[in-house]
Amino acid sequence: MNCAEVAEYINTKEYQELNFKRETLVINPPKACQPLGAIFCASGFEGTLPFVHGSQGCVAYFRNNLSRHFREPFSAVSTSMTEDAAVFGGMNNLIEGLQNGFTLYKPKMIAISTSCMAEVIGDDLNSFVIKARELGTIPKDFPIPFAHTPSFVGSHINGYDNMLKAIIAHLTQGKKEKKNGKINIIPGFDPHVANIREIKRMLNLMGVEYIILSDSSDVLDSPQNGNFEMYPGGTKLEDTADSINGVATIGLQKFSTMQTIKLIQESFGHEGLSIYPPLGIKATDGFLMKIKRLTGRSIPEELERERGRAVDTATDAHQYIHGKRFAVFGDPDEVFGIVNFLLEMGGEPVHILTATGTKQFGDEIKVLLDSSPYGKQANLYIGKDLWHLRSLLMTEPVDMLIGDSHGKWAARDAGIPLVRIGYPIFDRVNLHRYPTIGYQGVINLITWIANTFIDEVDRKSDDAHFELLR
Amino acid sequence: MQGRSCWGGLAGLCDRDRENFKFQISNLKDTHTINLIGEYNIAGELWDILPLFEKIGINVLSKITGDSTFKEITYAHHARLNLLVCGRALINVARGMEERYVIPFREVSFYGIRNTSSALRDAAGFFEDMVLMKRTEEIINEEERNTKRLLSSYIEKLKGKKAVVYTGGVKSWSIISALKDLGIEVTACGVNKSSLSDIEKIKSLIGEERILKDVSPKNILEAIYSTNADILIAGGRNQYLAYKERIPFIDINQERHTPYSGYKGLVRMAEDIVKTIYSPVWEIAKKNAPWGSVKVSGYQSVRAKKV
Repeated sequence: MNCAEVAEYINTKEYQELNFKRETLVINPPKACQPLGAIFCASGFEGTLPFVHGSQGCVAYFRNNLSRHFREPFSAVSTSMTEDAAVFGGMNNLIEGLQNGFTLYKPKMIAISTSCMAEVIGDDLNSFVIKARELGTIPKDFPIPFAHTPSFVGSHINGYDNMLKAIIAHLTQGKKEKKNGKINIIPGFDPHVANIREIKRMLNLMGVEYIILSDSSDVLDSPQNGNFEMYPGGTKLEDTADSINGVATIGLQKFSTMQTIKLIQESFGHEGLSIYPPLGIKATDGFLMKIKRLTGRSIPEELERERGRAVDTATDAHQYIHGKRFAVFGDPDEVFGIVNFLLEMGGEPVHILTATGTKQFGDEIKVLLDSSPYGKQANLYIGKDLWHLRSLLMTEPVDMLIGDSHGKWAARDAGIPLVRIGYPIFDRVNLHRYPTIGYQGVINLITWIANTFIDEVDRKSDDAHFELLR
Repeated sequence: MQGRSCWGGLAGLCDRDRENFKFQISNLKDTHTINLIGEYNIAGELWDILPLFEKIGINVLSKITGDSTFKEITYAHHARLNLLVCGRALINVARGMEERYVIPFREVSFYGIRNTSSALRDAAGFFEDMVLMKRTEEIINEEERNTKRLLSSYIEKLKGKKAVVYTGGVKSWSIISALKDLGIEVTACGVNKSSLSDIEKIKSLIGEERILKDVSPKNILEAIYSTNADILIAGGRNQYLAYKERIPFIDINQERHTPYSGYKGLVRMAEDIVKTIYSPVWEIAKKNAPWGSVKVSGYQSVRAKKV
């Protein structure tokens, strides 16, 4: 076969069958590894130095990746393990690294995660940290939560979960006092930082007191003031400690907060629940009703009016989304939320693909799809990659792809637009500054999706069909 | 230059002294020649009609004035028959050409299967040419069969639905007939821009009591609620009135951006109506916030009374 024939062949059904038989080769997996999620999580705490016990290159990559998505500096350090550490163990690297990090960057907390190398040789973080304290490298009471986050297991969403669990467990130890009346909110691995602001705004409107557990909104969306600040914000450590005294904890992503929610259910002595992301009108209704139930606060008229505006947006644009066919890929929580939103609008998810979903996710999203006439033709692909997705788009075309920037090649080959939602978004500006959740999120999603379709109509129109009204 | 529509006033050009306009067009010698008067090529509708005439072998000399040229209007008076599409605006052109050039005219419409077929039949029948008539019947047969096949899944969903129509210009009677092709019953029809003969036709189609003379927003809504209509089919000005009241809507006015005429257009119309009526958004819109205090105000109070 020459190049042109190959280019033709990879669009066929026959090739797709071969493609899906692949077992020992992954091509363009839409996921990152555990430590990336871990340092993202750590960055959302006040004065916290994300610290990776592992090789330097990994951390350079994580920083680069996060930095490009948020268009913000991202600070993290590594223990710079090399061959000798791989042979003799990384204890010296870790202890020296803690000392340097503590001295140079003056953090209030160092949150340790690990890369593959440390995990392959089985470094024992706990004993290393104890040793460092014994040696007086770092003060006895200085907080150093740590999580084992092997890159070769799970993905960034598990890394987030593991790190968060470690930080919460560490800081809340022995802090149980009387109830503080606050709600704890765990945003999950959410690359749209505006979602955190949106949650805070809604809770403020309801007059609810809250603690956001890993609040990266001021860290990864910080103001331009002429100064680089290494720690521009984040959840206060004493608030994190106090979270154990809250009235309830809600995880806004179910699949990226499972371990943390489990810890809370077991040790906080209050209701800990994880919900599907409040994406779409009904899901936002559900979220607000939960807050209402847990806090006894009423939902103010302002939010009701806002809801009305979101519904108005939906009715105004219903004809642009109803009946359109979609492919959606990304992390399970985001995919679940987007699919839920599409079904609400009468959009038809046809290909749903995730590299990081679990069987539980599959079972649950199947129930969601079965509940709607628009979910009937959906096919679910768990643990698949973007090369699988490309085959699907070529043999069973859809009108739009929704996912992160990595989907742009498959979308281009299939001749369809990509609406960028998720992580990472490298090739558009500011999208992370717009919420996807809440009623405001409904307005944003409809705007992006409907306008993209209308842009397509304009782009594809010949002169005679190029219309003012659409 | 090709354009979507010139101003209707340009049609007056054919009244000019024809000596001023030299032309040499071989197909003027065709015997089967017609003009389309009052077909403005809204959203490209004309382009779904012209191929039909081409197929059956009728030469459309001049379009007045969708996708037209000055030149083709100058020889419009060589046509043997005028088909008048928009009766209200350009009836004077048709009458004038009948008086001056002895070109008879037929009022036709291209909305719906039956209207489109009978327009083709009318035109073909005029020329007293058995071959032409036979070919026309064959093409009508083929087109209708094809259209009905494409429509069947839509009709399943639209059968028994009720619509309130206020076209504000486009021949309401032809839209009523097109909707009937889709199984939709028109329960009220605004007529304040229809000609008297149009109104008569509308009366004969839906009955006098369903005619709406007052087309204020309040009255349109009342008509919708009192007849339990499923959709409002009107112009853009009423689009967001309908949406605010959670009523499905399609735009039928001259600013619409989807061509609805001819066989193909009817399929698009069906698709658009299904899309809006069956959008799940209305289900959400009809439910207030789960914590909400229901406030009845504005036109909702009208509905509250009627329902």
